[in-house]
Amino acid sequence: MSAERTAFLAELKAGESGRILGVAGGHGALGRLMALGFVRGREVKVIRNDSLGPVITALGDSRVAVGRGLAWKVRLSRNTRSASRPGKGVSS
Amino acid sequence: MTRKLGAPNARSTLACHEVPAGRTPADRRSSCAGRVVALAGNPNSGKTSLFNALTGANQVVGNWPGVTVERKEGRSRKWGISATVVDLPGTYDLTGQSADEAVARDYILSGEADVIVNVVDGANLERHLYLSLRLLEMGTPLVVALNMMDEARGKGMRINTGALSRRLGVPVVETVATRGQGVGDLLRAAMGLAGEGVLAAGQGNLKVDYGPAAEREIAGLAKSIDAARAEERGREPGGTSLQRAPARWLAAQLLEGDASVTRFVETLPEGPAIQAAAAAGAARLESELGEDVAAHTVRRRFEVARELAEAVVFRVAAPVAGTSVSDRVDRFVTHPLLGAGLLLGVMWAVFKFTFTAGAPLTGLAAGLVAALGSAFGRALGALDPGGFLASFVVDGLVAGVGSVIVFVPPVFLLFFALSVLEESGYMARAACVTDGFMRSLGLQGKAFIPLVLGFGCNVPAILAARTLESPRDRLTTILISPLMSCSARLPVYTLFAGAFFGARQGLVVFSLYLLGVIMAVVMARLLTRRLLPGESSDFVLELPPYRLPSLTRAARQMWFRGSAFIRKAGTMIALGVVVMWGLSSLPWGVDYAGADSLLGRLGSVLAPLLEPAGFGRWQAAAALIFGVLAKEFVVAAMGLVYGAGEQALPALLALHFTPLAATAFMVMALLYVPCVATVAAIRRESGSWRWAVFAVGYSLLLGWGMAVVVYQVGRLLGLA
Repeated sequence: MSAERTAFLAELKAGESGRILGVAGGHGALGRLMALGFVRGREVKVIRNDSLGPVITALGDSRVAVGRGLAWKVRLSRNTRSASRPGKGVSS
Repeated sequence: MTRKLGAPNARSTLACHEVPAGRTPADRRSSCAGRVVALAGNPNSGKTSLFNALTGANQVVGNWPGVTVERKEGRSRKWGISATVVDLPGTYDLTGQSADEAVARDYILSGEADVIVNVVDGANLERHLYLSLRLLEMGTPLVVALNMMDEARGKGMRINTGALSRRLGVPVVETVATRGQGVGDLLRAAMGLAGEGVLAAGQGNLKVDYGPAAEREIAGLAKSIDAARAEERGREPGGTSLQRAPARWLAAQLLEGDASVTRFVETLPEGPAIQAAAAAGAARLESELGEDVAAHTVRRRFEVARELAEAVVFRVAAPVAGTSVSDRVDRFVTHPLLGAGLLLGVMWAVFKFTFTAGAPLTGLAAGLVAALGSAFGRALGALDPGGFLASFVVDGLVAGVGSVIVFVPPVFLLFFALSVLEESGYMARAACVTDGFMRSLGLQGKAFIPLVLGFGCNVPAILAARTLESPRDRLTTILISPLMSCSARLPVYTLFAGAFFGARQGLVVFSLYLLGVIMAVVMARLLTRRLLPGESSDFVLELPPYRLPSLTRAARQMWFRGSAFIRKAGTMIALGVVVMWGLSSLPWGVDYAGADSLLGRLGSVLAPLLEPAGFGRWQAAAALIFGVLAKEFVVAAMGLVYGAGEQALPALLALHFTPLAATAFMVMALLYVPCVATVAAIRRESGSWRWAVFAVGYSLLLGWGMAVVVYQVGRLLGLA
């Protein structure tokens, strides 16, 4: 099961990355998220994702903590496990 | 396209005292002080460092009219140039959705500034260029400060400044604001543009192409807006700064559904028709593009920003492959358990530092005040024995001012420690770690820092609540901050716990701190469930890179925040001192703060109410009345009403209080009525007396209720 597949940012585990497909809506906090660069086509990498608290992400040279509620509004296509982290790596 | 830029040359023809309608006196002041330069940029772009480098110590911190957004203004006189520098709030965009963005946008559009300096993080160019593109669209004279070039070079990046400048069509100057490098060149470049008032031909020529469909809609709307504005030109000029905005920008904002631009357009002749056309256009676009208009325009701007960055940035060293050190640190620091443990450790260290390093300074300040008091007493006593003046100066002024001065060292040191944490980048991580817990209270992670500040002093805690975007979160945080046991309450605990609990006093004091936190948790839940329902705002927070904090910058922050605190607290306390002195010494001739003074009589009236809590004596009531002024006054007042010095007081208290009553009294002192400075801060920050009165009311009830519960339950358990 290494094919690309759609997921929400909140579902990605630490070390995983994906390409943003879309951000639902565009106002309020979502607007802020977009202004930070969360737009279609951008690569996001998850640095930390626990069941509690925000998802810590890397977006280019920026590091952004995205609240759990918002992380369920960012749709992306999950990249296959790449060479960046060999082995099964981090679990949360 | 007759009016590419709003109100051309409005600024340059303006003489010093001709101020257009709609400008405030504050604006008038700044328009008289030479050229006005405004700094715009993302949070963490080094804007504040640049502001400091430009203005040195010539800074005035205030509020933007009507909102609790900090306004910083300063004068630059270096490099032979005299200019006023305005530091706009740090924002990622200028949509006007948050108070910060609205303030920045209105100011930029107002034409008040001769030139905008856009501070950009050279090490994160792509992200930061987004705002530059937004500023160019607004048609303002712009200079880009390519800041943090030391970090960019450290990351192996080289930036072709000339190419960037040509592409953007505005001057670009490399700076390292923290070391003052390039700042003079930047100011000269800004002054070069300032004279022109508007962008000259060929300047700011970079335009984001939104694609044929969107461009068609934008062009159509822009034309209608221009026509409507031309028709309106003969009429009274409206107050809004949107009047001056370029039509193309207005049209794009309208399509994105910008609320304030929509409201503005509706006031134009044919406004409703334009608005209807915009709504139809947006719907057409959305079905054509398959995405939200805003999602499309934002993405297009980022694509342009990326192209720009890729064209001008050269990486000498390849970016670090895999996970960087900083990311690995983040994985640990934001871990739900390890990170929480680290946070507790850091907070403990901050308080240890504040109080350990502060103790000798506090002792010194207390000694100084005591010496001053007795010197004044002797001098004035010789002039006018037992007189009005001596009493006012010694008992009122010196005692009142003294009680504030004693708290200056810990408050300053706390600000210093917190500035160091902020500079290092740790504060943003702390907000992440606490977000989960704060959310269970109906709040969010960013509320944590203000509440921690509350342990030092409630006033800065309330001011720090400004970092919360949603009014509901901010208000809740403001209202529960006073339950954090501030350092002024510690002397009360020390006195009573020392007198009654001997070796166990540490545990007693700790329990009181804990009780305050528990009460804050309970109140937060009550407020967010009952009074201020609704979801807590979503959490988005940029985590700035870890940096070695600069002690001089932390010291500067400490000085600004600390002196602002003293000014605010000082005025309230000066007023309170006069009132309290009056209550204690009137009717003239009674023993100062004796049973027959107004204070004593008031205490006697209130004492029966305190009976169920076990301390129904006029002295206790009088001390609590004093405590409203500043909580540490409770100790001084106890000394006064019992007529005892510091040494004799504990023994005297043991005669008048049982240990159980003393505990109830400490609970009351912890929870009842925030001090006047805090009440004033609540009033100012919540924008209404209603919430200040609410805070006083609920805390009074809570304090009294908890004191009664402690006393009565204790009695039932057979404690005395």
